[in-house]
Amino acid sequence: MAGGYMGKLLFVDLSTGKITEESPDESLYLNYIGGYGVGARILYDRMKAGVDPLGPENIFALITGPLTGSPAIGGARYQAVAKSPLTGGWGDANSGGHFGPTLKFAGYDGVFFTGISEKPVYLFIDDGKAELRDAAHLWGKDTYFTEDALRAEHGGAAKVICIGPAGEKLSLVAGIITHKGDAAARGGMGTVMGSKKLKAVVARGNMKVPIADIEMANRLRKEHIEDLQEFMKRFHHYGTGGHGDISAHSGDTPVNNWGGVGVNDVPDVSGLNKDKVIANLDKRIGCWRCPAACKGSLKAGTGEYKYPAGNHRLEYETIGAFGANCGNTNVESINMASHLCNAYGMDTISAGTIVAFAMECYENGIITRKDTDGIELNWGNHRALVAMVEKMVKREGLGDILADGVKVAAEKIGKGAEKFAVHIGGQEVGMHDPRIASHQFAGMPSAAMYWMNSTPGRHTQAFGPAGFISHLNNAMGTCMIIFQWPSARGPYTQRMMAAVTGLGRSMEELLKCGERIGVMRHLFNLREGINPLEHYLHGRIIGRPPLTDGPLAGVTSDVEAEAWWHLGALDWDRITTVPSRNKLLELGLNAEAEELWPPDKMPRMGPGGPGQ
Amino acid sequence: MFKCIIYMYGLPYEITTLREVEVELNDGAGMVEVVAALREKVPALEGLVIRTGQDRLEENYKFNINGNFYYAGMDFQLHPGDRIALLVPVTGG
Repeated sequence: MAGGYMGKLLFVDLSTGKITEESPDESLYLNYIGGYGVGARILYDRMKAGVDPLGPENIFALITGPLTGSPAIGGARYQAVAKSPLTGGWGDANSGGHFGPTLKFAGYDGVFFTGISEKPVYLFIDDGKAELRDAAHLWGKDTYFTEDALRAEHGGAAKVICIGPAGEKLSLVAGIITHKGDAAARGGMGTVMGSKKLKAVVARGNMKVPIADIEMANRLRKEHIEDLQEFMKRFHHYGTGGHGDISAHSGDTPVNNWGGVGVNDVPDVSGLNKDKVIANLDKRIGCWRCPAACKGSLKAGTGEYKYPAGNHRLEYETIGAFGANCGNTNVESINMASHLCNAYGMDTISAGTIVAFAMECYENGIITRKDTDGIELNWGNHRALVAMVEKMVKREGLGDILADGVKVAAEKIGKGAEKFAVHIGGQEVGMHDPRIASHQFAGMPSAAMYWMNSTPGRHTQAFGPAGFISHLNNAMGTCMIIFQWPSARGPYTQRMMAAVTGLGRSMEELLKCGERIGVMRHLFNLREGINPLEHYLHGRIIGRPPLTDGPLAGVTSDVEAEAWWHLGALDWDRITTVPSRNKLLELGLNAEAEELWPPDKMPRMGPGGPGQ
Repeated sequence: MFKCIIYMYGLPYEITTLREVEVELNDGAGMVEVVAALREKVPALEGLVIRTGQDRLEENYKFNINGNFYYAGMDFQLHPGDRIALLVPVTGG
């Protein structure tokens, strides 16, 4: 087995309680690396199309990569995968913290769940052994309580991922929380856990991740850290939340539910300034062995908003979603909304977008004070924002309708609410306006990336050949910000993978794996009948019609042209989006090539051609 | 010659605290002329938004002219009545 892998996967049938262990063939790791690469392959092989995302046949998995728990900086991530109840297609989400490495120290590269438990349970993985335990005492509790209780029971070395009441109540935008605020929250992965009555997974262990050349890996780590000193300073000090004010005016952050202009609708953004964001900071914290430590822990809120000590410092996406997109610049209210989402286990990007949707419905008389139980949901009303988030995470009143995302909420509310439901393919969109980039660079989203991704609306995964490195990074188990972006400046990806795995593969070979992973996720969706060209795309996201003022005045994304070029570059059909037979064969997906392009249905090529 | 207002958004505004800068341009002015006029009016942009010693924008900065983006390496012709804005995408997280 190549270095970097524990070589074992756990399979847990929650219906029967049966736990089995598999040692997969090395080719699985070689071809799909890890993370959602391994996840996509296994879910495609072991799940049928059309299963209910909240039913027993959906497979939910937590998977690490070969660099998770290795000397690679940012090697702290795990991926959660399942069929998404929010989009009906491929779902994945990921987070840092300490759980990913600890899962490997407990002996496993990943754990897969099927079935539905009769009663709430959690899985305890302890140094090569795993057992399901009763979680009745945790059901209904928030994620902070759950993490504390499980670590009190199993010791501080035990690391926990869990859901909160939002996941238990099957909110379609429920996420998974670890480290009291690190979230794998997109796509309703927490909802799937809730549907399976799986409250938490606890990992504890002392096994070592095998590293092929530990001296080289440590040397590369040191070199990489030295190379990143300046880059890391910014993130260490402010995290990702250092530009909430600037982005609100530059056209980066959507404003007033993607329909506003920052300089006009939120003229004073001083409340979102980076120093305000860290004003109540207690200490800076980081994921496992991360030298950047870009996260923060706040002191208890002492003003109007009494969030508890330990509330995580705001990330940019949360600032954008509950900030300018709701016309709000009160950072303490955003801290409170973020705390509610982390404690109850809800995606902040979706939650902020849902509040913005509700505000616009309220401003237009589609919902009234009667619907909101007296909450005046006007743009920028931070008290109303926090009150509505609390209703959403608890599924109370209007919050019960909103808790399933803007698409479902608009369908339930009716009265034309759908025109304010800003989403792509069912999922609320990341907080970077794609019109400002117009093409992919430096990690910025583009319109086609939001539209065509297998998990639509995601801001962290490119589409087209630029996505290969993104898929590779997510499969390796490394952080996009601290490892992937800076790695573009040096060959750390290839060198660290060589040092850890001992395989000496070229970057070209690794990127081919990234491409294979992207295709595998796409094939999962094709089998579900999803053609990304048919993803619903709200016109505001691409400027149809364009804004008439501000930095993006007149700008309309040429999303079809962008998709057209990317589809060609990928060698996917520009109408059906099915990868060509040659592409599938080139990637070693021979069975899929036969399935999608059976020889008897291949075009006849004329005399001498393959059809003769 | 015509008077042209260049609107400043995001970082250019943070750097200059100017919401807009008025410059005088010849009809048909291109990137070089516009950047030179901008430098003359707001020297603080040198080295941050405008490349030092060059009439070019720094990487990632771009002009939005009537809904189309122009950045280093591209050119345009500006005419009276055109709307021009200077901005930069800031990313992270």
